This record gives sequence, structure tokens and C-alpha cells, in this order.
Amino acid sequence: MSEEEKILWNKILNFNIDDPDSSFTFTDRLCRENDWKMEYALRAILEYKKFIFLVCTSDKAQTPSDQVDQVWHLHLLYTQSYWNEFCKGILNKEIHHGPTKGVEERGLFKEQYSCTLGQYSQKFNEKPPSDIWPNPQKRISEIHFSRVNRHRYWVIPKIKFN
Amino acid sequence: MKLLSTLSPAETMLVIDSSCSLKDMMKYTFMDLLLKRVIEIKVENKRVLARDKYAKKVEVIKSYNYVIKGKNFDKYNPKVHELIFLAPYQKSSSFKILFKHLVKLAYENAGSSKSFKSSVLNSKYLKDLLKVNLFQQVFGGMSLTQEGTRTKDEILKYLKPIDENIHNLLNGDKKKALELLLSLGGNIFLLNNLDFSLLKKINKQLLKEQKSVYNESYDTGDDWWYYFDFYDDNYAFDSYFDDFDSTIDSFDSDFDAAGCSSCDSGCSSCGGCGGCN
Repeated sequence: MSEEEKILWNKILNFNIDDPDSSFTFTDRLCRENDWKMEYALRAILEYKKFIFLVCTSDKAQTPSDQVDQVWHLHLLYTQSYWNEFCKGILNKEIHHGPTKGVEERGLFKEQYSCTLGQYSQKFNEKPPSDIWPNPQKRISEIHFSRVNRHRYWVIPKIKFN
Repeated sequence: MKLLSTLSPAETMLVIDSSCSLKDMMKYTFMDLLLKRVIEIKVENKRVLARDKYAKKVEVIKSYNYVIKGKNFDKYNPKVHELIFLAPYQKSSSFKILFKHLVKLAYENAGSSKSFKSSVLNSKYLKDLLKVNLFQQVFGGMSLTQEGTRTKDEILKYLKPIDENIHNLLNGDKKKALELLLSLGGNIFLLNNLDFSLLKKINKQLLKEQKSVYNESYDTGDDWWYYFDFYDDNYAFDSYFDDFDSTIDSFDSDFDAAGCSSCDSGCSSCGGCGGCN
């Protein structure tokens, strides 16, 4: 990391995504909507910050893991925090989210995702944690998510044979 | 009583009364980690908009508590039950966690009262003091061994006079007070009559003298030495007792929140909207 990048990373790292006065914070909502534990959600937020740093410091397009993407989606809903405090106040640029245009982009995203993992290791001098940044094959194959009304339906995991 | 300086407050509580509450055990574990400077509180001030008495919007400065790694974190050898608070910092050193989030996180990591007490019971210091029979393994609970009963009596006998006299000693014989407090390690939180603000009156020279006395009888590599940092730095934090209680108590009501707040323009009754300007 260059000196300039270190300054940017510290600003991103110290950005408070939660409104401490809320009784139901951004992180609480992230836990509830994804059925995550608090510790996992906090780690996912940290990884989201790292991803945004990579976006800001690279010329190439970056692809997040699904977990990081979920943090990003939720942050985009907090428009004041995302656009004004984060993009304008901290990053000094607008970071737009680009959803996939379809199956034809799958190969491209897989390649971009692999590059993002490489960039991550290079910039942060450590491997991305595999429980938040799965390998490219898993990232591209495990994408079948649905919103489930848990008042009406149970969620039962499939049996794994491997 | 050397045993007390090696027992964490949660371990001591289990020996004194194995039916103690999960909330208290967690609270004293957290305070003990602060005491040893394994974790630290970082206060951040933020400008926020609030309404004055005429309902007019005014800018005020509010303080918020975050928990970060303490200066002794990297050297410290944590006990299993302390990991409910320390695990996230082991995974990433750059964590800065909102106080109420850390309490919730620890509450989740603790699992249940039964599982947290089992993790406390893992301690090598409690091996001969407490036992769990087959019935207790299924339904919870534990009982003291003969050695445990004897130790419990000794602890209570040792703590009682300290608790009764600590206030006077801190105002009078500070040397004796410091000697006794250091002998308790993190168990100072179990004293009912300790006024934490008086601890600031302990001077550095006295502390230095005590350090050299203990150098002869205590292993210098022992985690117990971190307690000196608390007295040395005049690090006050007893106010977090109340914060901890209110945070845990608020959990039930918070998580019932529907997730919607009204906004100035547009969506006043949306399913999951956090408000807009």
C-alpha cells in the first residue's frame, strides 16, 4: 500500500456504518436479514470496507463475494450514509453498483472475482477469509437465493454427502 | 490468598455460587478484561442533530463507546470463557466494535448459561473444585467437591473482611489497601463496598514498591501482572457496569423492532425501510 492508499484505508476503516443512537442498527438489520451472527456480520462489514478500498484503488472492475455484496446492498438502502457520508465524505467519488446482466456475464464475473481475490492478497498482505470470500467456483455456483417468509415456511438444510 | 489472584471473577463466582447468573458472569468477565487492558474503550465524539425544548433542530456533540484491542491483547493468554469477547479481535486486529454490539456478540457466543458455565469449568484451576455428575450433564448444574467446599469457605472468609474495610483502608492505609486489592486480581468486582473513584488516589511510588515486592513471589510471565497497568494508568471504567446491564436488558425489546421508521418524504409505512430525507 502506498502512503496515499494507507490514508484512504484508515478513513474507510474508521467510517462508522452504524448509527449508534438507533436501537436497531445497520448491523442488527444485516444479522436479521441474512440470519447471521453478530460476529460474522461485523466481519462481513470489515470485508465490505476492504472491497470498497479495492474498488477505489484499482483501474479494473472488481467483483465482491455474495456476503460482501449483501452488505453493499443494505448500505445502498441507507442512502444518506452511503451517498453523502461514505461516497462523498470519505471516498470522494461515487461508487455505483452494477447488477449482473445475465448468464452471459458469468465467465467474466468469475474472472473478475479471481482478480479481486488476488488484489486483496496483494494490498492487505493476507489471504481473504474463506468463509466470507469463497473460491471462485463456489462464488459462481452458489447463487440461488430467495427471500423466505419464515412465519410460513421452515428452512431445512440439504444433506451433504461430501 | 494466592488462588484468588489466579481465578477470574467468573471462575470465583462459580465456586462461591454455581447458580450465579449468566449476565453477571459475562459482565465481570468483560470488566476483568478491561482491567487487564486486554481490551479498551475508545470514546468517539460525533456531531448529531437533536431537537431542543422548542422542537428546533440543533447540533449537539454526543459520545459513543467503541471497544478495541487493548495494549496487552497480543501478549495475553486468554482463558476459554474469555473468548466470547476476544474472538473477533483474534480474527482481525483492526476491529473497532460498538459497545452494544460487542455485548450482543458475546451473548451469542456464550450460547446459554449452561454452555458458558461449562467453558468456565474448563479452567485448570477449577478441576479439583467442581464436579458434574451424569444427571447434571443432562439437566445442567454442578456441585462442589470436598476440596471445593473448603476453598469456597476460605474465599468467603478472605473476602468478607476486605469488603468491610476496603473503604477505610483506601482513605487511610493505602499501602495495605493496594496489597489486598492486588491479591484479588480481577475479583475486586466482587467487593460490594469498593468505590472505584478512590483507586485513583493510589500513588505511583507505592505501586512501584509493591511491584518489587511481588517480583520475588510471583512469576513475572504470569498474566496477573497486567492488573498493575490498571492502577498505574488510573484507568476508570466502573460506569460501564450500568451500560452493560442496560444493554443486555434492552435485547429483548430491540429485536422485536419491526424495522420501519417513518420518513420526511414518501414511504411512511414500508416493510423494511430505514427512513429517508
